[in-house]
Amino acid sequence: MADDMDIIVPIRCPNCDGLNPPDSKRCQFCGQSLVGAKPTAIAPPSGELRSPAAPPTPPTPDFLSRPADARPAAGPIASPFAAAPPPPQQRVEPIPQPQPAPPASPAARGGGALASRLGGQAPAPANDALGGLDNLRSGIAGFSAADLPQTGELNGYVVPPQPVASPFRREEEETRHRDSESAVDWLASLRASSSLPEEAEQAGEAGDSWLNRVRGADSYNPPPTGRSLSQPLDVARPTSAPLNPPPNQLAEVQHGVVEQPNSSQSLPDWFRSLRGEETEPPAPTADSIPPWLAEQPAPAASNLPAWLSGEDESATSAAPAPTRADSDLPPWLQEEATSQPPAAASNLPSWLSGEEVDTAPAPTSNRPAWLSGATPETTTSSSPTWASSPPPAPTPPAHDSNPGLLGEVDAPWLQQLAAQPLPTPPAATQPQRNAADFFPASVPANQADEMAEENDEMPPWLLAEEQDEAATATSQSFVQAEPDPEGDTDEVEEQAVAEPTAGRKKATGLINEEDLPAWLRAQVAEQEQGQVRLPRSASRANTTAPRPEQGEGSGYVPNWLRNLGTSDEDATAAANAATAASDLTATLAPAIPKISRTMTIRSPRTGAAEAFAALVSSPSSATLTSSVLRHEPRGAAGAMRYLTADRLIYLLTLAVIITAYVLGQSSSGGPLGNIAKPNIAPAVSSFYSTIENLPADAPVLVAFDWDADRQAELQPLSYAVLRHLFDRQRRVTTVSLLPAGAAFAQQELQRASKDYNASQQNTGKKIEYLNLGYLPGNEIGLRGLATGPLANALTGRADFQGNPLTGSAALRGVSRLSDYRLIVLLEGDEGLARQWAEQLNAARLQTQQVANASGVNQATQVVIGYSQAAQATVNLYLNGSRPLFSGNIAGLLGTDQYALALNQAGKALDSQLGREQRSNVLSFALILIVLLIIIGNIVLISRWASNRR
Amino acid sequence: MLRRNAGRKDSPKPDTPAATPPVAGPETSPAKVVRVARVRGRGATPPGTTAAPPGARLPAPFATVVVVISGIVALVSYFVRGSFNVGSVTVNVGGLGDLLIGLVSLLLAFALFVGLANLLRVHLRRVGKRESGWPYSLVLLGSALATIIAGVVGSVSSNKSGLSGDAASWIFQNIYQPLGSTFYSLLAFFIATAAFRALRAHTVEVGIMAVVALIVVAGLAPISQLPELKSVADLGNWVLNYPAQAGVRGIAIGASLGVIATSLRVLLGIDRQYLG
Repeated sequence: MADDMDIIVPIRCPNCDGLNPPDSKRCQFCGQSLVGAKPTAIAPPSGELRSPAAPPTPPTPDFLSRPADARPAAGPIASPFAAAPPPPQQRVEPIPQPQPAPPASPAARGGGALASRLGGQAPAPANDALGGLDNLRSGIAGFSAADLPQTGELNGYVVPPQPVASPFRREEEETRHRDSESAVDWLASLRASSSLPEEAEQAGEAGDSWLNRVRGADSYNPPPTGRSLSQPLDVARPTSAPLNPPPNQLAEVQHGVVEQPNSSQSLPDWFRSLRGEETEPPAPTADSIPPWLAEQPAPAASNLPAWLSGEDESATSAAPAPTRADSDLPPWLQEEATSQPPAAASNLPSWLSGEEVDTAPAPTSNRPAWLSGATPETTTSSSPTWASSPPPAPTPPAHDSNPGLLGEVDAPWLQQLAAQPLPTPPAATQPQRNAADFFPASVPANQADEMAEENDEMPPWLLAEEQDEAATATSQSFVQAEPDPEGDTDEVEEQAVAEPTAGRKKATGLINEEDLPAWLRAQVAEQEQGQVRLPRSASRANTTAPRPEQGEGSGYVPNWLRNLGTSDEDATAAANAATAASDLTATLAPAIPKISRTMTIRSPRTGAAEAFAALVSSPSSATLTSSVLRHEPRGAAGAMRYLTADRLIYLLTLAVIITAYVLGQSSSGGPLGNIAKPNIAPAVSSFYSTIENLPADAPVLVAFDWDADRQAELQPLSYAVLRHLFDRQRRVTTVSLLPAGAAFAQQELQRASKDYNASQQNTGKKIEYLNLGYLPGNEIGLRGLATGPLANALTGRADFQGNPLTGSAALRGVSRLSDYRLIVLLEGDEGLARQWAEQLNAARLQTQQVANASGVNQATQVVIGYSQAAQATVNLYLNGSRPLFSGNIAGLLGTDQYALALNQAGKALDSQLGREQRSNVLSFALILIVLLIIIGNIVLISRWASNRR
Repeated sequence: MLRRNAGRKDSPKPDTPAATPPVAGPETSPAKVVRVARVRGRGATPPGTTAAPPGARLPAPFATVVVVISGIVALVSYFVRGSFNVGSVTVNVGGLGDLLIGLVSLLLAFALFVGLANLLRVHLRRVGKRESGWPYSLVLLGSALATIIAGVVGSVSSNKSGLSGDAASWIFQNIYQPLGSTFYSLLAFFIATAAFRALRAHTVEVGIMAVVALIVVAGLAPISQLPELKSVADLGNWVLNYPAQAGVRGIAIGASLGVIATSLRVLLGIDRQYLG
């Protein structure tokens, strides 16, 4: 069965030492011509082995046709045989027959994983190119620390830093690590072929470096010159020895034992001679299969390790170890070797022992599917099976069956390794799990099944990540459901963190704690303890921290990258907020339904939202209109919204004024009657008496210094004063410090003269008056008017109507201000009143001085009527030792008193002045203001009282 | 070297900003350059810049002398009336004072025309540039022109001057007076709301003010003339005649002292803010 396997003798490039297929004309690495180069005796990789009687096989993938650079597992496997040929006594020893499988060792599991991987038993999915190496990594991780050789030794052998150092390394380690080189260096060479040379320099690093380097195999980069593959060969070969010619002893054995299988013209002569005797003509192969591979006969099973020979596991595992010295084996292999019978000479490969190779076709079951033609759909595809076919359901590799291609290899020590139970790859073990194992109890069963189906397609690292998330959710629910009664949330948090950690360790199944080396086990324990001790935020953040079984090359997103943009403070704050919210929710959970039933929260936009909902749901405009109008303020409620306190006061004031004015229109004061029967004040009486006491035809100057704003207050007074002056036949001259005042003076003069003339029709008396108009300059104008000639002070030398001043009857005998017997000031503004007072005082002093000098004492009386607002200022000149004003009338109240005085004198002006109406309106308006002041303070006091309560 | 440079105040220092003459750019007008140069060089016109046009302003010393002399004459004329001889020249101090006062009154009368011209210019510009509120300016201009035209035309047609004309009088009586009276009447409503809001006794001071206001308003009401409420009227008058008058008198005295001090500063040439 194993005899049908032939040995492929590749051609080593003389330039770059790269291994090329036998029929290669040029080096596939450097392009160097290989014509004339002799084949190198090297054991073919498992993928290149083929039984000559096998049915047409699918085209060989590229990674198998180019083992030197694209398939990292091919080189290391062949390197021990090619680079370190066994000694003669070992070569003559028979290859031990398959024996019952001993207890599987972790090394065998790792090798089995590799074999199953390379043999195509469980081809990896196309998108899991690194996943296959991940399985390999899992297998390697399955080694216990005691079973594995020393890391430094392994690494030092596998990847020598420099080729020139190889001899020295070989000499140093030849006696100590020969077996480790020959036994497990296929794993090490695998790394050597796929990892960078720099990693070899880190051989003596900390304990997990070997695992990290294995991870580095995921990102395999073919060496530019293929030197990494040839380095193990260099180790066993003197540097001075030429590489081109194959070893002589191998060439002799090959020519003496192996016959030329056929006379195919595509085979080289050396290969044709090698197979010509015993092998049958190979079956026609596909065009894509290289001839050298298609026509290769299956190598003899005795020449291959058991796990490569394809024999039953029982036979393979029971095969005794070859006659290797114990010193050449690592301790873990020495134990295995001592328990096995010594290797027989028949275990030698046929090409070494000279026996005829059994040309019977190998069992189909021992070959990979792609090699045995079990998958015809892949025959036309040039891509590898794992890349082109959908990921099949992973099945755990059977321990009783050797992996396909490698099973053809007849190496007892490898058979032992293969016979040991293999660590189950994660992808293969996941489907066998129950879905409930992956999800917390809160997840329904059907949902868990669906999620489990999804997890089947997930890579192991992602699957483990989801398990962590589920565990985290479980811990959170644990925190929410069972708050710490003592309030110590840290302990709860520690439990919540510790449990998912343990669950993860159980759920992943990739690395069991007992499978880890001691140093890694201790590290994991420390890490777990550190998680427990971490504060809440850090422990939560560490729930997604990378785990030892997850490498960066496996597509795992590191925590720092996942939380990019989220600071620790944010994570802490979010964790605290989430915890507080969960605690609050747990506390308020019983009360929330009650609150939601009893409380209705209505946002300001609820009406609009409901209207929009009504529009969408019901196209009826009536429905929409009713929905909209339902939220409109209606009737008095809508009006009351606009009735603020200010508006209410405005309306109240207006209502009071209008009511008082309407009810007081009757001659007797209306229904209200003459509420206010004023008592004539002494100042008003003096004012009245001053006018009454003037001599007949006395010139009187009346100042109209009020504008339209004071019209309601001073117009009645002005009219009353003019009527009084006209009635007493006084010559009236008006002047104004305001432009509009002159117009008002003219208006009142005309009105009063008209009324007077109407009342004095039978008497025939005439009145004389003059409107001097506007006097500009305020103080300066008054100064000139008071101290200088009147003509100089008056502008234009004409009256308000443009009539010349000269010849005016009103100015007869008047050239200066002091010539007036009475000055009546009607002031609407306190400033103008003050100006008049100041200038008249100065003029009076000058007049007195002039009078004293001339002996004429001509006193000019001044009376003032002003608005109520100017009372405070005017009072300054009313009191004192020498008061300026002999009488004053303040506001409407004084006007009423003055009118009352006129009534008493028989000159009723009430109808013209509207005294009663005005008094009633004024009285009620002021009462309203008083009430408002009182109400405002009552409101304030009530607020104080309510606040104190 | 340092001493010689220190004595030359006009020589620009290399490290001072004045050493770099301002460059007239597109945003720098020549007048602005001159202004900046004056500020930096304290009146010295830097080379390459144009000097200010002569006669744009009255020289400060001359203006100050005019102001001081006019003020002193007006002040003396207040106390000294009559004339006296200074050599062969008779000086009438009172007449001179009256002349100055008459000139001031004339100038102030012309100020109305100046104000009217400025008002028209400002609002014409707003209307021309369509600035915010330009329609109101347009209404103002139209009203002013209408009043002026009505006064001029009315005075010419009716042989009356100013507002005594028919058209101007009609505008005054039917537009100006109602608008003015109505606008002022709004104060009644504002006072009512202010009495409700502002006269709340939040503090002691406001409480005192509220009480005094309550007394004064009640005393000024005509209804307070009733015999029953006479005490209220008397209390209001007392507040106005004594406490209020005391405060007003103090304010008046203080203002008068301020006016005297300011007048002395102007007469002594210390305060020259009137020069601009």
